[in-house]
Amino acid sequence: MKKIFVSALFAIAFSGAAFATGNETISKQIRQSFEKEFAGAQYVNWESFNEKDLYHATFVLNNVRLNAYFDKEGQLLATGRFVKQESLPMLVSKAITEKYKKQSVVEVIEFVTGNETSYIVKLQDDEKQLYVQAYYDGSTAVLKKSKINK
Amino acid sequence: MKKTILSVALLLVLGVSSFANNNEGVNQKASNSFSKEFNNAKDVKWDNGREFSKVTFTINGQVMFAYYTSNGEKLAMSRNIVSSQLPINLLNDLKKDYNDFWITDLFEMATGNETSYYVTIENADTRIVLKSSDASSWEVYKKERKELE
Repeated sequence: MKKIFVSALFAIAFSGAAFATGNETISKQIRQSFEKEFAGAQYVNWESFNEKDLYHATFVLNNVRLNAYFDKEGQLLATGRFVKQESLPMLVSKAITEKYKKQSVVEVIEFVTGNETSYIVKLQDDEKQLYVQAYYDGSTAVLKKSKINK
Repeated sequence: MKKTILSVALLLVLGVSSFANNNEGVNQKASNSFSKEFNNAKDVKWDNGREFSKVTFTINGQVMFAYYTSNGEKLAMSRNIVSSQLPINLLNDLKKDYNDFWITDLFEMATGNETSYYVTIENADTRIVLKSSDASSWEVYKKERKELE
């Protein structure tokens, strides 16, 4: 269940435009929930994915650009931000380096669901591209693997 | 074991060095364990204390520290970080709850498969050390009034 949820959000986060309806009517319930959760947020932009009852806000809080995902009841599902590779915790960084020796890190997203923080790491070599979800204990799971068309 | 890890944490928090000025040479067991685990480490420097050995090294340009018992068992590793490297929940809580404090020390520590963060924050008269073991919330680890200088 959890993996499906992460995969769904992940798919949207990386190919969001394809799902967006362009009709950004965000309910009062969702807006209130957002304002409570992220008081002081600036430069807020919304997009909705009606097909999946998912609402996505991009905004700046404390000078940090963030993404937040809500369901139609206004429940916060996840928060994400792009971070530098140096921000990966030591155990995560070590696990990625050891497990994916041939690939280099292209980008990193810090992904928060409830009280759990994980990292989605995009890795690449000459032949393939990988999206790996990594946890604080150093465990990892491949979310997506694709060949690079030359 | 747990007590030793706590001692390492406390040493780091207090900024006390029990490692310096030791001429006994590198503990071979510790050195072997280290080389096995961190074969890509550079700029390796050892400090040996009575209870622990501390090794300073760089990986991918980042300075890190690891702590070993005399039996070569790794107790912990740590690195100093800047606030933007904190998990977002911890960063936001720090800015929300301790807005009038400034950060004087911040490090990440890994023991076994657990990661914790320690931050020392100060205002004019108080010094607080906060600890997070879940990357989600802070707990007060130590709080003291600053002595007038």
